[in-house]
Amino acid sequence: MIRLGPPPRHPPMDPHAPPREALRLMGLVLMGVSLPLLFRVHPWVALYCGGVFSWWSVCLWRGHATPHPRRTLLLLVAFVGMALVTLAHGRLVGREAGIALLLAASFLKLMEIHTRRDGVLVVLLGFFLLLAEFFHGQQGWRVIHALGGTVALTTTLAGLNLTTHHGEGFPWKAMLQTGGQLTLQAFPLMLLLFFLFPRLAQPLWGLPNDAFEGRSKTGMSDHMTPGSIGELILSDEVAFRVRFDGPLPPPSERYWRGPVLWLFNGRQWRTWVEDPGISETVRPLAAPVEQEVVVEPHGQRWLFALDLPIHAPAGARLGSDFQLLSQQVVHTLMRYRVTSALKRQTGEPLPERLRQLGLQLPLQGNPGTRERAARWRDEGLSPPAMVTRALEMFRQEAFSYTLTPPVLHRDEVDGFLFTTRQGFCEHYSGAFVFLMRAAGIPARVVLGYLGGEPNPLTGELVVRQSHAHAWSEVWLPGQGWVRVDPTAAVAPDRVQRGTALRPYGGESLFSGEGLAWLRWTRQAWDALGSTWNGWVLGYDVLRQKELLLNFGFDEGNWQELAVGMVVVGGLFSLALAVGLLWRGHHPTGAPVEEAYRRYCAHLARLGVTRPPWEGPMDYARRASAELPDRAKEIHRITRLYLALRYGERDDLGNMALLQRLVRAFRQRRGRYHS
Amino acid sequence: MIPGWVRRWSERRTLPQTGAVTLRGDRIYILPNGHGFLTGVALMTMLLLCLNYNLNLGFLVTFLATSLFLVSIFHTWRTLNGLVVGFDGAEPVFAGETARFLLYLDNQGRLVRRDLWVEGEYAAPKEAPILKGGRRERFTLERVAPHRGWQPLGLCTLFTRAPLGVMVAWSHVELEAGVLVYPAPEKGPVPLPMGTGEENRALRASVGADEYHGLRAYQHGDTPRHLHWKASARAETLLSKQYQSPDGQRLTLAWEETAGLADEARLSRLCRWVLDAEQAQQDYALHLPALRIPHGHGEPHRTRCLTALAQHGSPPP
Repeated sequence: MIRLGPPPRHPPMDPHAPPREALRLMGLVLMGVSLPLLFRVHPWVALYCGGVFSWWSVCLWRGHATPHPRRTLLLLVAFVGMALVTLAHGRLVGREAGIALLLAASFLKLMEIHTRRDGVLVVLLGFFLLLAEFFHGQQGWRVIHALGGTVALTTTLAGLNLTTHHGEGFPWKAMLQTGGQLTLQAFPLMLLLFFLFPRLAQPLWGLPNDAFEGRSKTGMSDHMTPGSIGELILSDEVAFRVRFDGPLPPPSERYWRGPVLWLFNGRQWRTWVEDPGISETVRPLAAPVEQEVVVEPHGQRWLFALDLPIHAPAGARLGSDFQLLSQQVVHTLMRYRVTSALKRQTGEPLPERLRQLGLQLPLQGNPGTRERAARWRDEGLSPPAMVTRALEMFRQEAFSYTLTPPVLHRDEVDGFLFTTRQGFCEHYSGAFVFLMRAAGIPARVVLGYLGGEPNPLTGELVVRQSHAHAWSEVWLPGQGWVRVDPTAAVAPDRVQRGTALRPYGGESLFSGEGLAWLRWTRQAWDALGSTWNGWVLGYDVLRQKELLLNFGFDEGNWQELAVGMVVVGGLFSLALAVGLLWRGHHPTGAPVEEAYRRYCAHLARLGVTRPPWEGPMDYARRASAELPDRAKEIHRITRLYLALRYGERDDLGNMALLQRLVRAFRQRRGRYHS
Repeated sequence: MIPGWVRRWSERRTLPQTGAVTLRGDRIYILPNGHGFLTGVALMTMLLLCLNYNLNLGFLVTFLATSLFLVSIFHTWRTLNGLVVGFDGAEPVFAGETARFLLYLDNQGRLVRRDLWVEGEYAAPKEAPILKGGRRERFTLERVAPHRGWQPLGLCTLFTRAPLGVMVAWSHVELEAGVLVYPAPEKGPVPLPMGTGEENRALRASVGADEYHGLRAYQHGDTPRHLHWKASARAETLLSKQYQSPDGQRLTLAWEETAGLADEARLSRLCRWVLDAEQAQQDYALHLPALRIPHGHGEPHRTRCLTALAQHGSPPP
């Protein structure tokens, strides 16, 4: 026979476009996946994407299998999209612009699907969109949305590969089944990879400047203007969580040090740009306290610790005014250990530069306060005496603590001290420091938090933005920097109980005495959040090392880690393979034969075995002869089996009947023991 | 889709089988296809992005996507595993026509197998129907049969890309399948042979003027138009009328009558004569160098003659 030569290789097959239902599903899934991004992106871009999507819906619902716009029209629309992005963001590179481009590209690609490969591209673009939304925040609902979106995209991909056959509808059930099965089986593998995949301590390449800006977060800023702390107090968001090595400090000691403000311009207090040559020493007077703090991202660089931190954690630095500053901006959850000394004494003498800073006052303004300070100086009071005098003034004159004081416009310190006498921690600390500076005592404002709620479920102390506080420090000879909290003089409750205040009086609903179950709910929710933070959101290199140490892996040993991952992954794959393929190796045969086989097995157990060459009728006859009391059932089953197998009674009703008969046969068997 | 060199390597490893073939592990190959590589690149990029920005939730999404695709590898493999392929026969055709091979696929498990494609050596890939659990589906594979004789189906490839279309799993099967190809009948006006001898008489110009000759028992292949209903009712078995040209012509189609042509052309002409003779309802005999078939007519006789022509010169399979 003559060979025809090497057979032609047929071109890769994608002969037809994906099924129409799958395309519709894909459009909807893409829209669902992009929704959070569309709300955050520039309105023009969102409108553009919405417009393209509507265009797509119109095309598809009008009955075309795939939208087939003219090539030039599509190019024009693409160009318009790029122009919009450039106008909206000013450029084409950078995070926000990149996300906008990605969105526009995905929706445009939706319009241009001809083959399965285009569908796959849209699905992959969808994955990137899911990833992009995490730049905007890592809240819990985003996780659910992202995981759900992943499953939806994969199910859509499965749908793209299904073809409809001869008048059947689109196999929705098969597609959903596939998606569900895959998800269930993929979940354990995902967890395995998540916990064991090595994390990096440093980024692979540098982060662009705008990588994390715009994330919704509240937090302390590096200046205090009237009202800024007040705004912060209104938020109930968690600022950070602390775990102590020893017992919890008493509420009056729960001052958490944040930014230190030195410069006052008459209205605003600001931090200073540090001179690296100056440093101060500190001597702890009692046993220092060790804490482990988990701080939520706030977009600045300070890390909080109990007043006064004496030892900075890795990756952070202790400034000369004992501010803890991290080397990197805190844009993700950060965990660190820090040591603080509750009772301490800073070194002497005070460096000249710091003294100057500590006495800095604007040239003009607030004459009343300066005059009073001058009077105290003339009286010859010592610095500690002046401090006491000031505190007495707060206590005895009719000062009150409120979150809604009257607004002052000029000479605010004078207005506060002599006229309104209403304010909250901002006013008190600011006015006190001004007074002290006017009296010749170096002083500074410290921002931070005061208080915290212990969570009995996790043993942590939870500090929220509503605990934000401002207090003062004065430098006294012989003692160094001493904390003075003028608010304590006016509202001792605030300090003693560490409760947060609400704008119109009263206390936070959750920290009230009543409604204990409500408080417990919040604590439980918080405990959940804390665990989530610890194991998922804040899972970093250190956590991974801890986890691996628990399993016996040596720290920093990459080979072992890699081997471990491969081994566990391999075991898992083996289990999955066996589970999935076991059924494939075991041909179960048609259900009819299966039922008959089971029936023969039952008979065999009763003593009548069927050799392979014996036909069903002969077997039935022989079995009835040996078991006359089962003869009727035997014949009935055999007759039904033959009719189903070889005859015309090929319907499910009789199938079910046969199975029931066989099962009944088995059940009755127990009664006969010969 | 499947890289050429991998395919050739896998084809070389395939041995011909008798009977039905069950696809098992050592016979199934699996590789990512173009879409798979694209997906792999996308997942790697996502992973790098997450590593760089330390997005833990991004890791969750990336690893979930990766796991989904990894798990789908098993599913793709499983679509082929346990499938039984067999050959159900092929109707003989004339050379140059399209032969239709009847194959069957037996799904013995409970799994529903979708997206199965079968490709023959010269047959275009064709999608097999969806196999529900425990069902057997038949479908035909078509290929052109250019030469007469025994035309084997050759190497079949079954492949699938279910469920996600990122991996392709394939398996080669060489069944004992073939089709008998008769020689192509010669085209154009070819008169039946006229020869000397009392067995061959000159043909009448019109082939329709046959006379009723008698009755005989119905043979499978007689045309129903020739059934003698009255006589059959009386005799209670089917009887068909027999016609014959008044001269009682019996043709002998002999190899020697085709002298002067090449071998294949001779077979073509003989084939045409057989077809014409059968159409004319004449008795004909076939004399070939290797064998002689005595006179007769009817469908089985025609098949016998054509088979002999097809197998001329080559041993029967």
